[in-house]
Amino acid sequence: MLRVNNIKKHFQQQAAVDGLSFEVQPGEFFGLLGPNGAGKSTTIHMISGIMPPDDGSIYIGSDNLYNNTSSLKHQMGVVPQEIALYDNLSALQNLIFWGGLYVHDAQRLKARAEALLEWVGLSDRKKDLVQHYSGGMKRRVNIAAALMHDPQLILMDEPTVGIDPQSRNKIYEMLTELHRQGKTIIYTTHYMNEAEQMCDRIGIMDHGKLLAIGSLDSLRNAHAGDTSIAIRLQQSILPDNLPKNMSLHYDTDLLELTLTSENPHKDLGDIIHHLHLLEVAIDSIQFHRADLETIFLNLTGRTLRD
Amino acid sequence: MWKLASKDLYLFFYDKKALALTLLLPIGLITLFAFAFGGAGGEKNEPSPITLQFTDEDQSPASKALLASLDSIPGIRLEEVADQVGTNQIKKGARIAQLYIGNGFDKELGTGGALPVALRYDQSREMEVSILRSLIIGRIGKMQGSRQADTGVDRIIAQSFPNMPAAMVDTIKRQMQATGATETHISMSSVVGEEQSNWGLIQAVAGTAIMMLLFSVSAIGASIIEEKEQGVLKRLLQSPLSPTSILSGKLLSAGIIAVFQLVIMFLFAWLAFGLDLTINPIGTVLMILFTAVTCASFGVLLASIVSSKRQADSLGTILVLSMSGIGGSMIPLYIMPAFMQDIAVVSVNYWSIQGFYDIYWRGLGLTALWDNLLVLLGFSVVLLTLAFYFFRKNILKFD
Repeated sequence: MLRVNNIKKHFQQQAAVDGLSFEVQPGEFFGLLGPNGAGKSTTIHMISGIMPPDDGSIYIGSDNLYNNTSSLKHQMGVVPQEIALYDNLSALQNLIFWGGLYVHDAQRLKARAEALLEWVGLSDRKKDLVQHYSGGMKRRVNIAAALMHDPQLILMDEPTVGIDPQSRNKIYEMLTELHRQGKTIIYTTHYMNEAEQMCDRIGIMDHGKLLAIGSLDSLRNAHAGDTSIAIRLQQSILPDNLPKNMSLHYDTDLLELTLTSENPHKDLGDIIHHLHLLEVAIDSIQFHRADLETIFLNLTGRTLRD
Repeated sequence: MWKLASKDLYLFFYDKKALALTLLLPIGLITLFAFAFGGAGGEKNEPSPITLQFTDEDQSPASKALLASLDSIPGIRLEEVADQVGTNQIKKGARIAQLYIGNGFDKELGTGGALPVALRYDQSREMEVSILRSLIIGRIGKMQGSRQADTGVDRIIAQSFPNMPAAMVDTIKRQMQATGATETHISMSSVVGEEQSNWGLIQAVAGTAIMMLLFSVSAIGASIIEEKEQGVLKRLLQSPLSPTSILSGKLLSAGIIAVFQLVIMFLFAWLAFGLDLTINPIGTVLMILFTAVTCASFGVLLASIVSSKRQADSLGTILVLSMSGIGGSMIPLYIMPAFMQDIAVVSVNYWSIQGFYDIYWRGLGLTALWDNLLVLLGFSVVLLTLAFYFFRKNILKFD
């Protein structure tokens, strides 16, 4: 569906995107995860056809985007990071206006706008001016405006920034539904949980470069590092009695052993056997799987929020 | 309190271009009005000479003496024309007045009878015409007094004091000539605007309408900047619309609003003040359309060369007030110094106002408007070319 080949973009000799390459398959939900300033929005601008790359190419299907921009834009719907709506028009008027840039059948436009407003849960407020909407409601209309022409490829640039958890969950439901319908979605975010929850594959960006790409599991396997296991004991133990050949940390207050291991199953068996010999009872065992924050930390040496 | 103030001061000084424009506005206006009212330039700021056309059919020593006397006045420049040509020049607004000296001027000068002298003029140039009238009447009066003194004294002395010495006769004549003028009448006729009761109405309507229109289209143009700041412009560009289509759409809306605004203003002038819109309806429609397109082009150019809403507001105000001041929207051109009148041609206001003067004051037909319409069209082409260039260069930058 989308092929990005070694694209580069500089602003005043500073690389915003530096040799980015990836492919997105039809129907795939692809996330671009990275901190602010990583180059995600610049990438979306280039893919949406408003900012030609300084170098490299972008293909939609078999067509080079910048050789046939106007026609290929019909296949895309873009949800910008900003709430790009006319405040003094109603939600219905906004959708009809934005849809009218692609579709010229007035009846079809109105029907589509009504259906989308129903879908985003705003049909009872459709004639209210957008300026009277809450942030979450505006975000939903912002998404609906990009879907008016029923595009196959949807580009979303941090569409949940600055809204309450309830509205965010509603948007997650909408995106899941779009994914289920087979839409191809490219989604930028700096929220790990969004990427973990919704994306089939994730590309991790920093300083304009793609550091890693793959499914969450493959990223974990490749970049998560050692698994961490927390073993809560029922009674205290003398630290000197712990095995010396393992990476173990003992919290005497919590009576908790933390085991970090490249081979967690073998090492866990050994420690359980060791504790059994010492007649120390185990209260609970918890595996901590590496999340995207940890993966990002391992890749860059800093957290997503840094 | 200081924190609030320091934040506001920081924001005020942050946008350097906007700050410069904010300061330039009052400086520009002070300069403009200083020149307009003759307060700048010191002694070098000479008033512009008034061109007086003349037609001398008498070709007598007296008529030539009168013209020589007028020509010696520093503020007056004489220009000889054929009778009808001079009148047409006034009708077209190219000249203010024409002095007509008919046959028999020399003969009637000493008799005290009606002189064959007429001053034809453009009533809208009241101030200059008053000056000319005073000067002409003063000069003729003096000549008349002198001639009457000569002939009258000779006759009386010959009848009553035939033996008076010649030297004494000369002294009496000189004293009578010095007391000079007798009451002098010349024919005065306005050759333009005879059917109009108030030329000031045209100045007020056209001048104000165009100035306010420029403010309106500046605001429409600035909406492009607002849309950029809100992210709406980016979204428009992400649609299949081309940048050219987007700017053309803005131009179209600005043009339609400009036409609407001008139509409403002229209708108001008709209903409230009786401006006769039937004088040249096609000319009126053309002038409104061309003025609207030119002003709309100015609006989109303004939006294309600034990078923030504040810059658009400041620069828009500076340019609109400057063009309006120079072009005669705020002050009638004829009271400005000569060089200000010369530079008025760079202003959209000038060509529009003069066009409406041609229609409503001078009562000229369509052909007289071509110059104004062509210049306005030229303005539009230049402004739009620059607007499209700068739109692509400045507005389409996203980072």
